[in-house]
Amino acid sequence: MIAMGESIQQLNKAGKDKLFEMELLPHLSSLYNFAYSLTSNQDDSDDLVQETFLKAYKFLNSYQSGTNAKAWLFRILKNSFINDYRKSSKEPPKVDYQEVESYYNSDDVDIKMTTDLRVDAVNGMMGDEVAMALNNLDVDYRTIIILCDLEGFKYEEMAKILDIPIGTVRSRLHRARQLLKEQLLEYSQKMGFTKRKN
Amino acid sequence: MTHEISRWIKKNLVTRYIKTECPERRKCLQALEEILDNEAPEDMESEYKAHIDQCWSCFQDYKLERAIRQLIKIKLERKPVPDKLLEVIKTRISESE
Repeated sequence: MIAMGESIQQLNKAGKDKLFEMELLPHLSSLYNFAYSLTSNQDDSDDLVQETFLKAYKFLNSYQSGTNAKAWLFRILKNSFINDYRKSSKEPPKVDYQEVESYYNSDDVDIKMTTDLRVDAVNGMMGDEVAMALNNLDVDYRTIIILCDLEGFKYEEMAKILDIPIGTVRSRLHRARQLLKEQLLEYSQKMGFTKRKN
Repeated sequence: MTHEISRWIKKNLVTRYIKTECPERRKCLQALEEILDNEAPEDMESEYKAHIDQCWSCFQDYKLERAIRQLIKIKLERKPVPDKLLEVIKTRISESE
């Protein structure tokens, strides 16, 4: 993309625009979906994505061509969400990870049913039901599941995007999945797909 | 009679459940998460695969965890990007310095 020995700082506007279009804009769909998962609102997602790309363009000099553009953009979007959007909207309740950890150390929530039934229940879920279960999670848990399972980021990349240690990525991901599993299985019980085992 | 059957089932099934529960389940679950996230070293993956051939409860965990990840990947619909968004971004970029 950039000629040998040339840095982004040396590019003129046309060169920067080209780089922007070739390396950053292709991630629009992923970024939009990430924004939507954070805000649950189309207008806010639009604004957040626009701000992300404008900031990325403004700070293009700090981007290294050919490196992980997607992770860089996700990090900018996440920071914009925390700094701009979250502050101006009603602050969501913070999750006490320690408390959740001790609760979930009691293992596998309180739904006991055979695994075959649970697998059947999970396989029988529709997209809307999965989206609803995911949306019921706290935004931090929702985010990490989306980054990992939907966007395919590695633990190390998620640690950079979220500004948290890699150990926290693992533990948060684990708890997020436990909570999601609980949501999904509770929903399947309500719908009568499975029965609670006594 | 019903009580007797119930007691028998409870005793035998509960006993069987305990017998088939993996004593290293927590460690196995941690390994499973890393394997399904493609973060595990190769030897961990091969050891785990050998283990689930022998361990019923870990094989059940494997099936469930895999099903949940597939559910998210396959059934969660991606929101379409609004038609005008790309143009708006390009316009704002071209107007910037």
